[in-house]
Amino acid sequence: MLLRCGRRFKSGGVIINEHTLTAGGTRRHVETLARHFEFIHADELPSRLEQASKRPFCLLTFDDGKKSNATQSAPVLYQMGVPALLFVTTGFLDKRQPLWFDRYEALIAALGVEPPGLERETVKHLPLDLILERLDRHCTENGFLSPIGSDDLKPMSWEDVRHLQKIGFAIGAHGVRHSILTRERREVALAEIAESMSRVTAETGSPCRSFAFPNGNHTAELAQYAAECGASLVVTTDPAWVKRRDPLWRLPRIQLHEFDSVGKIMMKIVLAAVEGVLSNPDGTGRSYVSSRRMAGLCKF
Amino acid sequence: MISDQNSLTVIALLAGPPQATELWTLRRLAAAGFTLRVLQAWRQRPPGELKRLRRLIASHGLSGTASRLVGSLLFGRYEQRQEHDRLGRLFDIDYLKTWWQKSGIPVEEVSYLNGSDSVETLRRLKPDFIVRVSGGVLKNVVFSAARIATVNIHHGVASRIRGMWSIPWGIVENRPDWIGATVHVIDAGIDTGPVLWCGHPQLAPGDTAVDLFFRAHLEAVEALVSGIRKLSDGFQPAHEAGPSQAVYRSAPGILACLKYLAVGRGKHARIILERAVRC
Repeated sequence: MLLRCGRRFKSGGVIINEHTLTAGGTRRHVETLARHFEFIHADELPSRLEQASKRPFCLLTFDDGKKSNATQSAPVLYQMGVPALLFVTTGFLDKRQPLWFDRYEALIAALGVEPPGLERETVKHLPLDLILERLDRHCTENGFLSPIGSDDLKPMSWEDVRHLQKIGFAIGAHGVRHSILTRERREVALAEIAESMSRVTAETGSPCRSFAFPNGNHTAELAQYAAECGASLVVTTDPAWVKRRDPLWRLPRIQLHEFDSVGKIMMKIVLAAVEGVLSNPDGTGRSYVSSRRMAGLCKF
Repeated sequence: MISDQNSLTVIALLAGPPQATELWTLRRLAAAGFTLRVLQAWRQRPPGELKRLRRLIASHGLSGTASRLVGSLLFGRYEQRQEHDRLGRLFDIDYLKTWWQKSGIPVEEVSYLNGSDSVETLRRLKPDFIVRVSGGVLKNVVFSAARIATVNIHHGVASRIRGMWSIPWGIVENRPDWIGATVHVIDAGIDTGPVLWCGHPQLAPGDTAVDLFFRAHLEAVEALVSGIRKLSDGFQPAHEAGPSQAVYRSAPGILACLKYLAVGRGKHARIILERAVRC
């Protein structure tokens, strides 16, 4: 089945979206993907979409900029010669405070219930300032302190980022505060894109060429603005294979997790080739299929 | 007409108990430092349903009125309850209710907003501003009781669409330019007064009409507060060229209700989905 998908997408492949992996998890994911895909560097993507190849490509990406990307995953990837693209949330690295969703998950774990006004199906529909106001209120009321213990919660340092770039990893921007950009006022969303990209450029000393939408939620206007800011690759979380006709300013990615078994990884990749079976983890369900159909990217 | 903004008296008009959207507006007005009072009517409109029905038939025709009534019966109440629940979660109704109980904002109760007791109360309180937070169309004698202006949030782009249910109408009729909110001074027409602010929320895949209403309201309430400040500083809003050309829409008929449900209350609407791929 996977070989058939591969033949169908000789000039295509997959972009994998990871967040935090242990060293063992990184090795397992890479070994599983390496059976069928050829790992590529972010810079190779445009040319790989133009040319047919024996094997479909796989571009590995990591979102958020957690410390464990530098301490757990990067050493394994480096050792195995696998390139990756790391998207960093610039304000997270600057302020060294936990990301809002890590605070949120820790608060729920401590309370044992979803606090009112912050129910799971509500929280991702709110602008970030409202989320933070409610989180602060509930944390204060319950005497709860923000978690920042493990490398899966801590940010990497800008020094880590520069080191990773030096040894061959690509670095992209992932917003300033990891706010869901489509929930913000338009000016706020545009500023988040521009600021995070310029911050990555300033810290790495080379132009930031890629942007990943926090949580995946996007509009064409925001994606094209990221392209105007200098991003040659803009990625979402639409769970689909990358095809030749996919515009570089709105590339789909398949999300994997540490706990995904080998079978589950393969199943996700096969189902992503079908389009419309997997739900978008950004909370918009299968509406990406209709959007891609409107753009002429998939047929029924 | 330059005033000390903290001493501005603002009267918020409410019809019925305040829901999440109204409580959000009241909380922001109170936080802005105005001297806030609430005029709360316990009834939406005066008795006289038959008169209202005759007026509806006169403006929409018999079949149009029947369609609206059927739409309201089959869809209106259920949908309203769903929307209230969803807005309650988005605005954090529990917190807002607690705030309201503790706020100590003086409430004057009247029978209905256009009634004589309401007019008398407004004349006695001599407000600088009246803000229509909820309730129906205000009579001239009510909205002219404010020293400076009576202001309203219309949940739609007033230069394009006036009346009620504007955001869902934008979804049903594939008009993204109708989706937004307008802060305007109330005059004799419906949503025709001089515009203080008009804005659009971003439309993005996954959004429903309620999400768009919520985000439009958040922005509009901020604009309402700054609009009141600007007016008290002597700002004269101009009539936009649009209102005369704006379409007027009232409650939906049964076909509009069905179409609204068919597009998943916006989730599957073309104007929402295409935002992912087209600017």
